[in-house]
Formats: sequence, structure tokens, C-alpha cells
Amino acid sequence: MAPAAEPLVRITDVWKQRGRNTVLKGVNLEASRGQVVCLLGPSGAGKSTLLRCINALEACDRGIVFVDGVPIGVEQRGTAFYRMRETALSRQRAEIGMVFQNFNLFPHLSVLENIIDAPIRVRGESRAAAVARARELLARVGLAEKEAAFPRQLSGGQQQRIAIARALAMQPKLMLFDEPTSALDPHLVGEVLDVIKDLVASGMTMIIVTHEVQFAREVADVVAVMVDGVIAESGPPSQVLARPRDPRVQAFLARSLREDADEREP
Amino acid sequence: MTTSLHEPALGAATAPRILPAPRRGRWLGVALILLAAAWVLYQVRVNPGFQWEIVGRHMFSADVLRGVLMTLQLTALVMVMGTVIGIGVALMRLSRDPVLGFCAHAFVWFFRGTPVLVQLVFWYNLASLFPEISLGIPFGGPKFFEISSTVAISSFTAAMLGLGLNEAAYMAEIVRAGLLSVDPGQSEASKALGHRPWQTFRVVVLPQAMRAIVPPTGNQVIGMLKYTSIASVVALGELMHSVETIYSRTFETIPLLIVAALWYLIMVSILSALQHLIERHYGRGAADAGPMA
Repeated sequence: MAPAAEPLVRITDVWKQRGRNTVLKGVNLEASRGQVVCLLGPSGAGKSTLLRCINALEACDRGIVFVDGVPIGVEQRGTAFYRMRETALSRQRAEIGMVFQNFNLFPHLSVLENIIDAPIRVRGESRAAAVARARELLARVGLAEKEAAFPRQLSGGQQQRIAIARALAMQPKLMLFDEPTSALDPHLVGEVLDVIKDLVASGMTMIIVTHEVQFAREVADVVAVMVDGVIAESGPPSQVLARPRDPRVQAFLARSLREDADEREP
Repeated sequence: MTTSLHEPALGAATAPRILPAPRRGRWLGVALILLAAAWVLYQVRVNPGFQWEIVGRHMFSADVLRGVLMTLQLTALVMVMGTVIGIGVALMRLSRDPVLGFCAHAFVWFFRGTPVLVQLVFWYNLASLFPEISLGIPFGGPKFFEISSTVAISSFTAAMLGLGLNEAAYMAEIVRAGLLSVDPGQSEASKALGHRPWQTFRVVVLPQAMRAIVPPTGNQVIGMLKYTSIASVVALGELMHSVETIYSRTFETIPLLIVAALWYLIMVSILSALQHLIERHYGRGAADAGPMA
């Protein structure tokens, strides 16, 4: 166990190149236990890439992500760092829940099977225990009656709530959300945000990539605005969202406020 | 006045009723088809060349049944070999490892690029190239195990190797296409849950890829069932070879070809039914799968 002062997530000087494009240019970010960090910023700024580096779905080229004091996806041998083998990586990923923009439920498995598979197969839990917790989680996301349904029979909002339940079933110490409401019809966004708010209240540590500035203002302990591969400004929402100092952040917020207004009155 | 959709449409409605387009040509078509069918039936009944009593005599004769059994055995073994190697080659080709990728590519290039007949005869005549097969240190080192090629390579092993390796090359491409058809988000979600690579493949990717893999594989099985007849060139006693042996002796060519054709049709019909069942199994959860539990 890491000392109590160590934040749950510590991202230190992370760089990522994709083709000729440098997506991340030295990102530093921390999230303490129980904190909610919202990543905002224009599309293409590298928010999703950064999030995917935290559970090593993408490998960063330089810099290290620590979760609970342990470097993710890399092994140190002497002074050199090597990328971990997938099998070892899977053990680290089991501790980190992730929710995707497109839900990515397994369409050939029922809702219940989607939720219990990893607890049984990865954690080695008994089927009975996994089913019991899956039912608890389904009730918590308000879909207790849907356990026998298949993902394609559900609305986008319902699928995303199931996806959250599936991630929680692994009892992760950290939850990552990659634009969880961006693929949803506007009238379905609320039900998913409500589930996430409920999770905030339970004290889960979360890093959320989102376009919902209003939502970030409500739930975030820390808002970090990314622009062009770096974190331009981060801090409590009352500061970053209300009185941003960085001109790029000011421009981004002005633009997204205008877009929100446009959406309300087309 | 508003009308409900469920109200009987007739009655007071004065709007013109729309009738289906007239299809006079269809009746002509049906008449021609019936005429052709009647002629075929008439020929089958009347033409003495069909020699139906000979068909009946050979349909279940021991030689023919042995041939049927051999055809089924060879098809099953070749398809198992082709599928297992094919999955391996497809995985190698999709892996990010350049060495594995190159080997897989070369395998498909060679075995898909040369005729099966050549491969078959080549394996059968392996003895003229390598008189004995041995296990040991190459380039003249000691040998631990040695066997004469003429003993090791029977007609059956030659047919297995020739057809199986060729089939593996085609199956590799079918499996690869199936795996590529699965949304990459699926394996990402699986990895994020902590599944190990093999679990991601077995539990998440392969079952979804099967929907794209099964129909062309059914095609391959049915094609292979008939293609095993090519093994008659290396004197393997499958169905085609059995009937050839009989009619070369008795000159009852047409009735024995009919025997073979009927057996192939029966076997293909059973395989098609099996394919339908397998497709239904992997259609689970699909948008078009109909009502589910």
C-alpha cells in the first residue's frame, strides 16, 4: 500500500505520439482518493487518449501513470522501463473500471452475463455471489427488470447504465468515463448523469472526460481543461470555470457556453 | 372526420383501390417450367439408359457405403485440420508481431497459390524427394527417429495434407475476415474488465466473429465434401473412387454416377440443415434474431 499522502492517480509528464501528431505533450495530473476529476477541452485536445493511458489501453511513449503508487503498464528493469506483457497488464486493468462513449456491451451476452462474466472469470468469484451483486447493481442503476434482455433491445441510456454496472461489478478502486453521454439522444443524457452523480455521492474516485460543462461544475472536485495536448488549467470548478486565467481556456468555455445556448434554442 | 387505422378499410371509402401489377409473363413462365419438368420426369421414367434397378442395387452396396464413409471421414478430418490451422494463421496474421505476420502471409500465399491437385500429387510422391523422414539434428547430425516416406505417406495422409493445408489457407482468410468484422471497442471493453488476451478472444471476439465465419465455412465444408473426390487420383477409396472402380468393371457408368450424385446430395442436405442450426445459435442477441427469453 502506498502512503496516505500518495494520490490514487498520479500522471507524471506523459507524452504520446500518434503518427506525426504529438497527442500528449507532457501531461501532469493527480486525483486523490474519493476525488472527481473532470477533463474538459475542445475535441482533439487529447482528453480521451490521456484517459486511455491510465488503464494502458494505449501505451504512452514517455512518462508514467501511477495508480495507488504502482506504475501502470510498465516494468522497470535497471534504469530502463519496458512495456508490460498483456497478461500482466490485465491484472492491473481489473482494478480500474472504464465506461466507453459507445457503451461496448457484449451484444451476444444477456445483461446479466455481461455483468457477471468478469467477476467470475477474472476474479474467480462464485456464480452465486456474482449474480447477487449484479442484481444489486442493476437495482442501483434502475434496471432490475432487464437482467434477461440483450443489449440491442435496450435504449442507449439503458445500455450505458448497464455498462456502468458492469464496470462496478469488478469493485474497482478507480472509475474512468470516456464521454459517457456523447453518443446519447439529448433526452437520455439525464438518466446516465444521475447514475454517475449517485456514484459521486458514494465516494468513488473518478476521472470523467465530458463535454457537459454544467455537469462538471456540479460534480467535479477538480476541473482540468486540456488544450492541444497539455493541461492548460486545472483547479476547483469555482475557479477554472468561473474565472479562468488562461486565454485558451477562456475561449473554449465561451464557445461551449454558446453551443449549449444554441442547443436549448435552436 | 378522423378514421382509425384499425377501422375496416372498405365500406364507405370512395378512394380508388390499388391492385397488384398484372404479371401475365409469370403464368407463361410457370407453364414452361411445368413442361420442362414433365419432360425430365418422362425421360427419367422411360429412358432405359438410367437403369434405375442398377442404381437401386448399388445405392447401398458395401463398396459404395465404404466410399461414403471414407468421404465423410476425409471431409471431417480435413475441415478440422483446416479450421485449427486456419485460426492459428489468422491470429498470427492479425497479431502485431511482424515475424508471425510474415509467416502467416507466406503460408496463405503458397497454399492458396498452388493448385490442390499439384499439392496432393506432390505429397503422394514425397518419397521421390525425401526417401525417408527423420527427426534429428539437420545438416548431417545424428537422427533420433526415422521412417520410410512410402510407409509414412499413404493415400490417406497425402489427401489429408494436400486438402488440409489448402483448406487452412482459405479458412485463415475467412477467420481473419470474421475477426475483423468485430468492433474493436469490444476487445477494448473486454481488456478494460481485466480479461486476459485468451479470454478476450474466447469469450468476446470469437463468438461475435462466428456470425461472419459460419456461412462461408458452411460453403467450404460443402465444397470440400465434393472436392474430396479429387483424392481418387491418389487411389484413395472415397465415394467417387468407389463408383469409378465399379463402372470401370461393369460399364454401368450413368447409373453409378447417379448413385454418387444422390449420395452427395443427401450428405449436402444434412450439412445445410446443420449449418442453419449453427447460424441460429450464433445469432443470439442479434438485432434480427427475433424474440428471445
